Formats: sequence, structure tokens, C-alpha cells
Amino acid sequence: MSVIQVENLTKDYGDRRGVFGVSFEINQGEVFGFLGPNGAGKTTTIRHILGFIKPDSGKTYVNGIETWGNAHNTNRDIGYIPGEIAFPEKMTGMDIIKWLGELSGAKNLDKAKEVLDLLQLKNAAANVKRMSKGMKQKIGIACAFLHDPKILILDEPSSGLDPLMQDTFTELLRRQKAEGKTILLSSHIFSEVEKTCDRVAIIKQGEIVTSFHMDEIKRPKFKTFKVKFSKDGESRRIANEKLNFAEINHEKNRVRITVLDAQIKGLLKTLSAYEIEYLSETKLTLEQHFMKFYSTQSSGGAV
Amino acid sequence: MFSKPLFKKTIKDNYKLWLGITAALTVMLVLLLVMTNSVINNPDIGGRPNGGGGGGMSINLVLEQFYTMFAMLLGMIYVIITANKLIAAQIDNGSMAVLMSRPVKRNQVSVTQAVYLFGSIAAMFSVVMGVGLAVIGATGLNIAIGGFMLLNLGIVLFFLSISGISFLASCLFNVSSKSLLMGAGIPVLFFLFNMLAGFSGMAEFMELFKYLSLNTLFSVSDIMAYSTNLIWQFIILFAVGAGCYTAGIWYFKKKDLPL
Repeated sequence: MSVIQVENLTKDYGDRRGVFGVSFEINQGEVFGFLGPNGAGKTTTIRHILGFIKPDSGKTYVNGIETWGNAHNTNRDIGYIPGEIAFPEKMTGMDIIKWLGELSGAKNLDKAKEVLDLLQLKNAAANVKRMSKGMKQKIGIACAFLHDPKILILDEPSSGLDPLMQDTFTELLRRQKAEGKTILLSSHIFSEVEKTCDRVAIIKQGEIVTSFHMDEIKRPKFKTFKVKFSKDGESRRIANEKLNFAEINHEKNRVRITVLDAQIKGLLKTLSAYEIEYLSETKLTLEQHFMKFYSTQSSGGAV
Repeated sequence: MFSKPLFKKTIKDNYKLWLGITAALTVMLVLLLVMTNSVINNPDIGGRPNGGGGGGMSINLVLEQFYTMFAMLLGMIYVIITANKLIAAQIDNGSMAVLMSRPVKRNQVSVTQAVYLFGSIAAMFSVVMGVGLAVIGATGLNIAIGGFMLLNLGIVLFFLSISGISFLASCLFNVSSKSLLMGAGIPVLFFLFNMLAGFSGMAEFMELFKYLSLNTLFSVSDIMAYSTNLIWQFIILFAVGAGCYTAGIWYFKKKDLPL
């Protein structure tokens, strides 16, 4: 059974803002990346999963229970880091952790302290009002982990952290994943998603435009090779071969060829008849994949 | 229906204003009663022991001044600020997200905050009443104990209705400015209409204003005279208060929280 299920979720705020027919499922132990720029509908979807807002149509479930109207039950297993963390006034970091621990029925605060140690936040006893963005974020992360929840819903969790700390946080996520936690990670930091997620959905203007396994990006069945020739005219000569060209550039005397893994031997055989300066694999990154869906945005917004 | 951790935090967040207003009201009442007592017992300005009419000073007039001016104004300040802070301000600044993402029911949150708001008002006037009774006992002022206690019950019922309106406003709106527009605007209008109604001696139509204000339902002279009007006056104040609190709790349960 899926741990988090979003079923045909629609919430229309007008002016094409909101979410429209969003559906996805996250299975036990899976890390699901939710990728999209600000205003694409990531946070709106998350608010539904936490039971903060009522869908116009469609439903969201956590552990098979509808979240709207049952959030006090479904949130028990959830650790949540909001996109923009705001804490109650006049409280110290430690006060907040203690208070939320009490509200969550946590037996002790060991987990929270562990996270604070890992993120190297030393003065959690300071008033949150005087804390920097990064420090607040660390408190927020500790709050999300304090009751050792089975599900983590993280809305841009590493915003405000310096690059070093972002790496530490990624490591923390990997550990959680190893413990079998189910994680929804909303982010626009590609490296973070690339390193942790099993599956990714890209959301654009409130609709999911594609979803895929990270394996398809990391270990695609297709490979693309860039070939640069050392002898003039070679690019024109090879263009006559029966190959799948991703790019032919006569000016620079080079081509990009996409082949199935099984065809690599054949490609090498063909290439042996040409004068080659270098051969390199062009790896598909998540960012490139993402840009395929977003690069058209300026020209009318169609996918 | 109630969250102890939330209640503890709410007390911590709001007790300072409560203490300040309660202390101010208590000090004012003590001063007024002691001054009245000394005027009444001072034969130089024509006071008669226990006569109540010394120097034109009527004890009922003093109580009227205290309850319809000081208690109403300071109480309103407390209610307006606190009601907004309890719900709407926490949605406005987003800090309610850390609370609502925990295993708490919407009703638990709203009922806990409502209990604090009304409970703190009841506690405020219990303190005022307790100190007032002590001063009356010590000075031997000629004030009917029953009437004085009824006066405090009346002001608590009055603030049940006023705080109900402010609480409802806090539940209805997600931004403080809107919550305050209703939650402060209506009580302030009531207060002003009540003052305008006081000019009914000058022009008859001014009396119409008394029907536009809940404040007229708290009448010191009616209470001290044990008027039968009290019954429906108190019933209306209670009904408005209970209705507004219930509506606020109901609406908070079903509304979208933009957290």
C-alpha cells in the first residue's frame, strides 16, 4: 500500500494558480522528489497532504486515511519542514523543541539533539527571533525529526543552509532513507534531489508534466556520445552513416550520437573508420531533463 | 477538545497583558472606593456616615464610572489584543504551521484558545471583585454585597459577548488587519454608540443608538436596583457570546489554513 497518495487533486486559486488534477503515490521507504519553481504548486500539494486545506476536488491520503478532517491522526507519523519556517514569538529554540515534543507525545528529545549536533547548532537556547535564517532552518529540521516520524514531508528543507550544511543534510536524508522512512522532498536544488530521490515528479503551473525513476536519468538505456574529429570534413562524411544523431556541427567538426547500450559495439566499429580527436559520453542530468519542460516557458508556456 | 501543552503556552504568551490590565483595574477600584469612603465620612464636606450622599458623591455613580468607563475600556483593550493574538495573528505570521502539523485537532486548538480568552476575563473580574469585596469589608462602605457581585457577573457576561465577537473575527480571517477591523471595530462602535445614546436627553433620536450597542445591556443602575430587565439583558449577552464562540470554533474547523 502506498504511504502517501495524492489522487486527482485540484485546488483552483484563479489566474491559473493552484494545482490541477495532480496525482502521485509514494510507497513505503521511497524518496520522492517534487521538482518545480516557486509558485508551481508544490507547497499547495503539501498543504493538502498535511490537512491544512480542503481540496476543490480529489483527495489526499496518508496511510490510507484521507487527510482532510483527519489531520490529527495522519500527522502523527509525519515530520514536516515548512517552506517558510515561522516560529512562535518569544521562545528559544530549545523551548520550541520541548513544546513540540510535548505536543507530539515524544518520550524524549534525543532525536532532536542528535540532529542539532549533526548540523552543528550550538546555541539552541537563544531566542529564535534573533537567529539567522540558517539557524532557524536547523531548529526547524530538528523539530521535524524529534518524534522519529515514519514519514518526512520536506518543503525546500535545505534553504538557508550553507553548501557544506546542505551536504550534511543530504547525508541525514540518506540515513533516514536507509532506515526505511518514506520521504517527500520538494526542492529546486537539483543536486539534492539527484543524490537522494528514487523517483521524481516535475510540476509546472499546477500540473505534473512528467514523473520518472532517477535510474532513467542516472543509468539510461540510451547513451549519448560526443565525437570530435581531427580531420576536416569528417563530420560531413559521418552524417551519411545510419546513426541516430542528436547534433551535427560541421563548423566545429563534431557530432553527438545517441545509441542503445547494445549498439555501442557497432558504433565503435563505425567510428574506427574515422580520424577522431576525442570521444566522450554526454551524461543526462536532472537539470537538463528539467529544463526540457521549462525552457519553453518564455515562449507561451506550452509544454 | 482541549490541549494542555497549548494552554500552557497560551498563558505564557499572554499573562503579561492580563496582569497589567488586572492590576490597573484593581488599583483604580481600590482608589475610587477608598476616596469615596473618605469623602462620605468627612463631615467637613457634608458627608453623613453611611449616607451615601456626601459632597454629592453617590456610590452608585462611582461604580457606574468604574464599570462603564474604566472596566469597559481596559477590558476591551485586553480582549481585542488577546483575541487577535490567539488565532489570526498566528496564521498571519505562519507560526501556526508548527502547531497544526502535530497530532492536534482543529477543535482542540480553537476550544483551548477560547477557554483561555473567556477564562482570563472571568479571572480578571474575579480578582477585581475579590479585592473590591475586601475593601468594602474593611471600610464598611454602604454597598450591597449582592449587587456588587451581580455587577461583576454582568461585566463578565458583557465581555463574554464582546470577546465572542473578537474571537469570531480571529477565527474568520487569516490576516491580523482584517481580524482587527472586525474584532476591534465592532466593540469600539458599540462603545461609541452607547456614549451617543447617553445624549438622548438632548435629542430624542439619539436614543436609537442604544439599540445599536451591546453596551446598553450592561446597566449599573438596573443591576444595583435588581431590575427585572436584568434577566433578558443577561440572556442576550450570554446568547451573543455563546453564539459567537460556537461560530468561531465551527468555522475554524472547516476553513483552509494557508500555512
